[in-house]
Amino acid sequence: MKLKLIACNVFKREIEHCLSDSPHEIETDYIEIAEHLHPATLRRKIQDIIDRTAEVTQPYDATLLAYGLCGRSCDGLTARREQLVIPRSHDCAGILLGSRKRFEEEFSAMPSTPFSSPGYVEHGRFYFQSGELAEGEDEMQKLIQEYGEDNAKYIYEAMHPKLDGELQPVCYIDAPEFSFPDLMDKCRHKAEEEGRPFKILEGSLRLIRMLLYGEWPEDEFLTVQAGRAIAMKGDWDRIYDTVSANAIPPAENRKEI
Amino acid sequence: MAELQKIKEAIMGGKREEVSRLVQAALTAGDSPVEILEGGMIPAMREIGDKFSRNEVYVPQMLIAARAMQAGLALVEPVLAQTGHQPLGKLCIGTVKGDLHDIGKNLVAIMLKGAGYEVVDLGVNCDINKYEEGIKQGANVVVCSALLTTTMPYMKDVVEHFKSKGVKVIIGGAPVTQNYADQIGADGYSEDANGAVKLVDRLLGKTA
Repeated sequence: MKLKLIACNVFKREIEHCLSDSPHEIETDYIEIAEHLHPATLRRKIQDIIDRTAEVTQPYDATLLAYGLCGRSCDGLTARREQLVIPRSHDCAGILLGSRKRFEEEFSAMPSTPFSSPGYVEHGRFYFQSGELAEGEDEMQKLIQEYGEDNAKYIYEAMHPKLDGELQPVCYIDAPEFSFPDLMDKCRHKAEEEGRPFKILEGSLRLIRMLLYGEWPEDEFLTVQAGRAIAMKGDWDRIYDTVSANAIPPAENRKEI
Repeated sequence: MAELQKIKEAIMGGKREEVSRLVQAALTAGDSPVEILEGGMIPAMREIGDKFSRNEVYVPQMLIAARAMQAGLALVEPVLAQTGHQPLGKLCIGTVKGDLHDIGKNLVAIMLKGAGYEVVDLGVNCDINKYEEGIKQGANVVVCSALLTTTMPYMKDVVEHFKSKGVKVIIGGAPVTQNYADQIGADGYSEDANGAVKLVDRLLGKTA
């Protein structure tokens, strides 16, 4: 098959590693990490690539999305000429862990737990904490410069929420077959610096391989036919359905907090 | 009034101490607390909320504005109570189970307080028992917030729990949509803090 892949940069290492073994011809477009903080913008960026893909002379067999729901970024994406294929995952943690079942095991008790992977550390963001990302080493300094010491401390604390007075651990997802100890150490160091426990979760390239190899079982991947769109379900199990593209409201442009 | 404009600007700039000083001075000078609220404080939060929606300010500015607003409210509320001002109604608000994010929830709570409602803030990670505590304290509306698509589904449990008890449940938060609110049978949805006040007004029949 000839496939188009639209992927978040967070998976770049894993994807490049798996691509060489794929039996298919795959062209990849990466989008910068952390765009999920602005879902409407990310949705537009992905849709633009989907739309452009539909205009090239030679059709692809499918457009693959290496994304999850990602804060509703993929809710409303519409398949044009090519069918869309997307893993049934809330976010990249589910994809990096290799299955929805593993994601539920690790995160259902406290979905707000921050997580990380080689891609996060490599891009200098350290970890993903739901709505926010841990910035570089000088995060606090930047806030002090801009807002003064008193407000900076308040902003920092509000953006690093605690449960019963304790910061959540950082869960670093490490796939044993494709491990980067130096990146893991950087993340551990950041967690220690912030006073967070550091936990390693065993990751797997299984879902990424399945996506790239054309193995898309219905219970793990959503396939969206031309003229249909992705629609968030609001559950833990299926994550999305498809609806007629006509049912998608005009693009929103509000910010998420 | 120039003082109200100063209060508004101080809130929007996140200048907490200046807000306290200005509000205290206005109250000491005998200004009406309702006027301070409606002429300076609430417009400040409305305006910064609108700027936020237009991507003109970001989360840190919203946070410090809300904190400055809170400092002003702490001075105005006791004076309002002393003058026999009755709250428009009582609500409880909390972020759902598994979710520790309170920035949006706090903004909604502040706007509701500013609009004259009594708000029981239940904090974050609220299960149904926690929302029940709010009802026991006299609230008759549950305001539910979620930031994540993984925590949002718990809102369905909250709505179902309170359905037969005559308690209204309204929802909001980044991943929440009107469509989802309709799907789970919530009594209302708002996409921002300003809208949440209008929604509660409508729900409790406080609109003119």
